[in-house]
Amino acid sequence: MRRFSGGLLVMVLIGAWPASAQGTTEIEKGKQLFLGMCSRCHGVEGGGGEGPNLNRPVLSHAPDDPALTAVIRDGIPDRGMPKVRRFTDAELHAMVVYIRSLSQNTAVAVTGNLEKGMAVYQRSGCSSCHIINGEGGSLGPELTSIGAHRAPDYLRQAIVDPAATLPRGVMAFPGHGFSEFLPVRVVTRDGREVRGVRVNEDSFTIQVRDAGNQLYSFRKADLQQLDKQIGKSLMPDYKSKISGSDLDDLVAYLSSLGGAK
Amino acid sequence: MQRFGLLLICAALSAYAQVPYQRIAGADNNPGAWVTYSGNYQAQRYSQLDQINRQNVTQLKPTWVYQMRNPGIVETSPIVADGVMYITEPPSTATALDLHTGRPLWTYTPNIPQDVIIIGSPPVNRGVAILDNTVFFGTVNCHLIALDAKSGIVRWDVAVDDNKKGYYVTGAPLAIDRKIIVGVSGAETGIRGFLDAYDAKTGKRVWRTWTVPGHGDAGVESWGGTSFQHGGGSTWVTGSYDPDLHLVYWGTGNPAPDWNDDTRPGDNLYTCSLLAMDADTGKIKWHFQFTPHDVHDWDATQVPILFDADVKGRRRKVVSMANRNGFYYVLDRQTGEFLAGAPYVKQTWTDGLDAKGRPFARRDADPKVEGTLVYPAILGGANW
Repeated sequence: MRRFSGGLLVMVLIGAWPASAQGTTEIEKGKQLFLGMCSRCHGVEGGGGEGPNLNRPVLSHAPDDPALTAVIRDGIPDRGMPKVRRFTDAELHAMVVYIRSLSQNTAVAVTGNLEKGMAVYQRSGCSSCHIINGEGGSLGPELTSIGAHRAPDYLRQAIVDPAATLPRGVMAFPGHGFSEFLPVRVVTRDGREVRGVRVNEDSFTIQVRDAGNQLYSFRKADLQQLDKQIGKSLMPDYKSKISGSDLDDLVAYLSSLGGAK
Repeated sequence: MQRFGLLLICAALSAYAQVPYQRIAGADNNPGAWVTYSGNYQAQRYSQLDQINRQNVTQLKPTWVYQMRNPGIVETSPIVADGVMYITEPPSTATALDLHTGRPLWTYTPNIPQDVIIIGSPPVNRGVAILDNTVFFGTVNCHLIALDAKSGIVRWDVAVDDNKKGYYVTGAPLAIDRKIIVGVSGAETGIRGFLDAYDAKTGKRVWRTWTVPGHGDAGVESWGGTSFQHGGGSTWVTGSYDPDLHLVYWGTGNPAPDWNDDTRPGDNLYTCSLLAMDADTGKIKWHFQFTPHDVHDWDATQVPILFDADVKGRRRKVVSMANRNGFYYVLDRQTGEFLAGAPYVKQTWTDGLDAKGRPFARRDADPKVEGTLVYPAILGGANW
């Protein structure tokens, strides 16, 4: 019934404004598809979130419409963008039209100064655990192209409340579908305690990196205790340390990191 | 306070080197690890471990299995250190596995262009090198990539040369003190071969040694006309290193075109040769050409094995190689002097070697349109 009236509405619209409404209709159709299948990661109206915001003129994986069509059709599996389902050419076209229209609606509000943000990054010790362009420690996620993969709001939250933004695994492995960097506490049968982040896990074993970046591999049968500290992060929260314009600047800097093309 | 503690630990970590150069140089003292392509710098590929022996080898059972993600030919020599096994998967993926379970810890696949040129071999990779906290590997689009050993994150990524000219990398790099040495494939597409050394920290090229001389270089007269410009001489199998003599030993591939020698009269230096090069400058200290003017595609890209031996009552530092041309060679590794050579498989292409190890090649064994029966076959007595 709903479907029927939707179809009727489209026909009426086409009838009313044959030329320009064709575009509007395409946008509407694309928007419906986008809301159902894309907005969970890319945000309502493409504002971004766990996935990059799409309301910008240049999309790093989709410089032109054929490329955007291919991304929607095939996904970017090693970046966490799934191939959602098989689309018709008409659906693909509608989504492309809709996504392209987003950059005209809203500009992303990144108010900070990215040079100052780089200085905040440097003096806050971020590089002891994060790598940008090959420099830094490797305990935490790489940030070289983080601006292309995460929207500014997500980055802001990751700084003030890291535990709320643990990334889901995007690689085919390890950790497919897991929260990456999940803190775990392990106590072996002989009383040894290891705290770290989960690297990989199956039914019988778990692999952990500790804060010193040492790797451990355990058989679960050898463990007295295995706590997965869901809702926590090994990254300290910077809520009280980076705020105000410093936070804006840092978000601006991270958002500018588009990675090597 | 908590943050301060974490930062301190991270700072301490950066000073901690997982596989420093000294550990590779002393690889024989740590038989539980395998920290360079051929086990040690002498490339002896001998494990001192004795848990598996002739009596119990029939009872081996799989402990874990790791499924490669892409179909293809697996030629990787795993590197093992500190509970982690580092492998490459075809064509150009590096992966770290937990040694106890086979579970992947990280994997990295660079973007390989659709139009990548790979001619002369399947799209394979023979493994990584490790130095300090970094893992190094080459790709089929001719890049050398450094990855953080703990996380697989890229430290640097440099183009060794232009894949559009036919250059690509299949061999495992060799890590020596502060340098990463890497060779190239592509003699079948008429590359002009070379061996490169890169600064391990920055990825900056330190030296390049051409395996085929250029205009005005010694040896260019061994090529007819301008045939040296596309002379081949690839460097696709990892060589060996003598830390005391400070020399790198590396075998070179076939001249190009390989079976058709019309354009390249002469010995075609330094193809099908062993080169001894200064580790700091890449300067060729000596060369020995096993197959002058090769027409059988017998690359000298076998592993050069270094050891000391008594030769005619004198202790000598030697290098040996089971060459693809069917002969086994022993050379003085300080001077390149030929000490011994004998066929180890049936061969019909020479009437033997002269006193300096040069073959009396039989030209009736050369390829002909109607076909020539010759031993060894195309892949030689030993391939890599």
